[in-house]
Amino acid sequence: MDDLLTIAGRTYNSRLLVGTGKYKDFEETRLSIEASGAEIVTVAIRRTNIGQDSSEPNILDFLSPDKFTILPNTAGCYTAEEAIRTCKLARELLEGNNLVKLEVLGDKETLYPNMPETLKAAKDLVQDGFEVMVYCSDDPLLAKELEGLGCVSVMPLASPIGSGLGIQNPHNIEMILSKAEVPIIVDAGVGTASDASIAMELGCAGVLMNTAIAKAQEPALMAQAMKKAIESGRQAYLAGRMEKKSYASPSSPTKGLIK
Amino acid sequence: MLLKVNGDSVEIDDGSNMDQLLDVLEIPKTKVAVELNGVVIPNSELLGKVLKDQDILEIVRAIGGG
Repeated sequence: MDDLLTIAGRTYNSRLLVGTGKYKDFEETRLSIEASGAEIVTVAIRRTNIGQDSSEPNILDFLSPDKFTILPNTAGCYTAEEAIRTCKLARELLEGNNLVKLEVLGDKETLYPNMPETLKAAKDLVQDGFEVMVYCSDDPLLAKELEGLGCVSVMPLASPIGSGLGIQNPHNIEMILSKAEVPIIVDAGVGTASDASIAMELGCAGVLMNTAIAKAQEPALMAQAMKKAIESGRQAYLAGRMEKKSYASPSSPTKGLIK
Repeated sequence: MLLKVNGDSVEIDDGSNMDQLLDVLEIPKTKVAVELNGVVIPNSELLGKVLKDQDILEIVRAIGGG
């Protein structure tokens, strides 16, 4: 069965999106991404170290834009202006690629999104021709507003970035999903495979994660687990779960019992 | 002339262009993007871009991130 994820007119087989931060080295990153089966991979944009060895490998050397959709993020930006400048640099860096992950942070402790600045940046970026996938709070009204501004995907957090606390408010994610017309992707907070499955069972279009894989004891093995969790969660969603009941209901026939 | 590159002061010969600056700073010339005084330089014009005194540059690359 073809069950593809469509974002900004492009289709993907994998509903797992992965970050490339916090790994021990490029080899561990490469092995984990390979095991995850992800097709959309995020990168950060940072100042080049002056005087660095120019032969030093670059992350784009092994994450070929021919093979992966490279999704530059604006992580570390605290204002709309910083985020917009970062996106413009990323577009040039990635030879005209307009797809960006907008992330405007509120403070260093929670890494919660600064929603007024996020809305401002989203509006300007969309007007400038960017295809914006936006990290946001799990507020259903703001999620809808971001969709209305033209974001191609809305990505509410499950819990704080890097916390691994899983989906803290599934009801909000459900409310966002019930009104959404663009893919809703849970971004941030997933800790282990069951968290990813829950997001998919709720009906999310995908999950974006980084720390849950990179900081597992065996990152490549966790990447594989996440791949399966996303697939099984998606299948369970499509299959439609049974109705929940307050009391037991026997699985075996109650007639014909020996006396 | 004096430039500000990624927040640091950099002294370079008058009339230098981006190509020369990247050589001096030992920064690779591919897989980078440059903002000059707040405006991104298109890749096609990057290396030939002539710099002037007090220019402010941000030179960036992609790194691992989530």
